[in-house]
Amino acid sequence: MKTSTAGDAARNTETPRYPGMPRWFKVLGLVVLAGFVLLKLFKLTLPGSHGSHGFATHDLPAAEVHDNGDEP
Amino acid sequence: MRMSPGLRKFTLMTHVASSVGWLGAVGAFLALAVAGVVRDDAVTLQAVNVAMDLIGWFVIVPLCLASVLSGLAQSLGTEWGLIRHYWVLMKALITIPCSVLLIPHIRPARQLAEAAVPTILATPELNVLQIELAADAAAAFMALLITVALAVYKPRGFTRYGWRKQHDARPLHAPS
Repeated sequence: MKTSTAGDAARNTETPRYPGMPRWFKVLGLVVLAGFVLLKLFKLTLPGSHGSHGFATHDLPAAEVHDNGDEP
Repeated sequence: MRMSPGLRKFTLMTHVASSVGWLGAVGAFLALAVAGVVRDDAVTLQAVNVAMDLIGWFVIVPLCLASVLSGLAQSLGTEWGLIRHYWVLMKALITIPCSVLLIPHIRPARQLAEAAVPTILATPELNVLQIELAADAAAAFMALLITVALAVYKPRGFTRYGWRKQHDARPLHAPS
């Protein structure tokens, strides 16, 4: 059984050492990054996807967009 | 800079309401986006696209801004700080990029709403847009769920800066 010593008592009065980055932070950071990369890869694999956002990358003539003549 | 108790309560209430509301609105957006992918009748698609556009610009974007601003005020105006605790830092690292990416990712909803014509809706190009919107909404929902979980569980861990502050100055009071 470990018993306390004078050295332990002296160490207890000092500022404790920085314990470092917690494991949960590293794991969660990796999970979030992996999710982002997977999302990007998924979108790149979509047929016809340009891998970027915004409709500017998709060719839709302006005239067709505003043609509401055949509404059901 | 420390906020008065009344202001602190107000920003906390704003932050909780806007953050949880943002999550809920993204959940509704996700349901609409999935409906846009799996349904192929013109009436449903038109309704879904218009609803996604309205929810996106008039609910999600304002709640996102309110959540980020109130979160920054709440962290910088209290002893929690923005980079003292790892859980606060992780929330910021998730929320701020999500907010920056929100506008370009939500733009297709406006374009789909403007293109809500049956002949155009059937094109594969727009189907891909619907799938992209659904995937973005699912990812955003998961990210926001993580931030809510972090806020509730508050996992332990000081950053190096927070650790130094903790031991240099007086001990941190436990915030509510």
